Amino acid sequence: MEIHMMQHGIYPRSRGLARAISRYMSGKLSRESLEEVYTIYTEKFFKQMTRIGCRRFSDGMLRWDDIFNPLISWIEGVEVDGLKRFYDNNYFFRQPVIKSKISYREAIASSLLERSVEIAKKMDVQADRLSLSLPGPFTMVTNSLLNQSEYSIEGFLRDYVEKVLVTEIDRSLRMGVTNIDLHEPSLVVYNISLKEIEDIYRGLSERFPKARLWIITYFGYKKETIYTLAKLAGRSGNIFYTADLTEIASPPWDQISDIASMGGLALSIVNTRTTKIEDQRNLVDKILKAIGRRGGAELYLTHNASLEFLPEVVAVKKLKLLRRIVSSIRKRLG
Amino acid sequence: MGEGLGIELPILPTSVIGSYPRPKWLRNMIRQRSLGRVDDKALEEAFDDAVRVVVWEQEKAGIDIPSDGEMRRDEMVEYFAARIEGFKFYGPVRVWGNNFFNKPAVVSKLSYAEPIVVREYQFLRNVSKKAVVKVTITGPYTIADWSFNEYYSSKEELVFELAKIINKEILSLQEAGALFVQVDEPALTTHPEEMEWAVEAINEVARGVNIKLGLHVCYSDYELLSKYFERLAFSQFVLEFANRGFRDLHIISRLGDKEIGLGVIDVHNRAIEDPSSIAKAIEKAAKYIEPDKIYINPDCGLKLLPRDTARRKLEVMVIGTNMARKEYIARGMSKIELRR
Repeated sequence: MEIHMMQHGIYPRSRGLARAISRYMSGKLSRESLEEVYTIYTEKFFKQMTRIGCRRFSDGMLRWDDIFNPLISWIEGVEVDGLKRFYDNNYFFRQPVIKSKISYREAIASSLLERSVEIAKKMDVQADRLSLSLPGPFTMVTNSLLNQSEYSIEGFLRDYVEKVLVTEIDRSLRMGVTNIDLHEPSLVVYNISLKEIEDIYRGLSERFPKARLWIITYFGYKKETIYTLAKLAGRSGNIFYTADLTEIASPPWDQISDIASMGGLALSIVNTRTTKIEDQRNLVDKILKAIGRRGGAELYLTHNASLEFLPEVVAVKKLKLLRRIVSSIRKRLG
Repeated sequence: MGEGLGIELPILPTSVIGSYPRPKWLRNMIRQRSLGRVDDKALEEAFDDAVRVVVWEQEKAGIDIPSDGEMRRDEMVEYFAARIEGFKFYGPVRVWGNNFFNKPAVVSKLSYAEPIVVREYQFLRNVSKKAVVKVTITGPYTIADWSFNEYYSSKEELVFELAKIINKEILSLQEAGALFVQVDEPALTTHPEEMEWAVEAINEVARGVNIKLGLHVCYSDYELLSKYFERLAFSQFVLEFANRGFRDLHIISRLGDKEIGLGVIDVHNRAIEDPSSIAKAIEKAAKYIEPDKIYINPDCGLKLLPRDTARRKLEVMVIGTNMARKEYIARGMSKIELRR
């Protein structure tokens, strides 16, 4: 079995970049100068990821305020409302309010990523190591305020997939970025119909056979949901998913043993909501026991939610811990 | 309703949540201090001057119960964590947009070294011309929820430890003469499964306290909070309503004999409210609760707004409140008493 390390989501925004954005917003810095600052920090991020040994990673989502913004301000029919808490975190996002049927012309997420792809190319980082990050359909729906007399939940769900995700994935594939990260904490936080999850993701998988669709779940572990994702991954060959083992007192290692052999699994073993550093030896032993010595498939190890929940210095420590765990497992597997 | 404290306030008293934008020169002075170009004494003098100015601005806008604008505090959790032994800071994390805070980590047993905001209160008391001023303290649950816990075996244990510390601080404020302390607990409803013990822990901060205690909870689940109105040992609930377009206002009918600090100003939007919309919001609130139990305030602290915007928002809040007051004054209800 091949063991890889991956990063996803938003990387902590450095003080220098935050300061430059503030200066830009108050008219003290030009757009061109801000772009230069973005380039510097994107390069720094890519260097960090390649040095640490990540097999695949996002572009740090340095231009994003959260996983919804700026995407939602480019969707017609959506108004960007007041602040809403992101699940149970001291972290807020501007909430999408669905005012009318949505339409989407410009693929803003992949357009922002395109700039990072150009930077990556100059650094000899191939586009197929990068990922496009988007709010997953169920996470988008459960975090939106919807006027249901105008639009049904199912209607919005389908339109978000058809109009927004399809447009974004299509453009991303044309740029050579095949890893599509769909952030889906809602899949394991709320009770969402397993059939609906299957329908939506099977549809996307069939429509984009060349894409590697990563369903990123965090803030919980739901046995039935994870099993559904495992089955989907096993059947499709292009669906991958993360299982967050950090937020439960007793991780279900028995189930992990079953689903790891089905393929497409990324285990989230490092918790981005605590600065406490995980016990390396314990994790290595548990993972080895769960996956045994099965060959063939690949297994990814990662952090649960975005690293931006941590101060940057701790985020780096945790990535280095992941690297040590990966290398220790590789050694022991021979 | 709690016992009267012998101080009269106008009907629908206006107040603030706590923070106010720092003057530009103060921000510059803080930067100079971080670069070692001025000493602590000079910075302290600048803080004092800033408090004088922002209290004056609040009072000029017509605020009945001002705060010191939290001029000395960078952030509501960080400020207290830095003054309680046992915390460590690794660096900033994002709260929203391009706003960050130094999220503390508990790395050893916590202890109360010395009073944290008593001098702030004493200075504010000397500066303000108003009979009542507000002192704000971050509550134990929020400090714990917004910190990383590397030391205590459970969050519950950490919150109860912090509650003992905050209780000591409120008793120190009471001894110094403070009349109105607001405990800020924006995180309170974040984890519904923790509410039962969280309420018990928060009530620990009120043990032995005989002055007015308010509880500020914002951007939260008010349906859930309202189930605990009666059990929480606070006489006033200071809640945010403008940001949510006054949805959920009906929950204030569950306050019983407690008061509402009604949030009528959206602090995350730079547009200045229309005074008549504020008056309407107050009228709407008065359908659910007696007017002598309504205090008026912004949704939350004003510190993230440009200073001029914050000042104008307070001015229109007072204008809108005055519009609403007319009706009650005509009915002979011009004053209320500050109650415990």
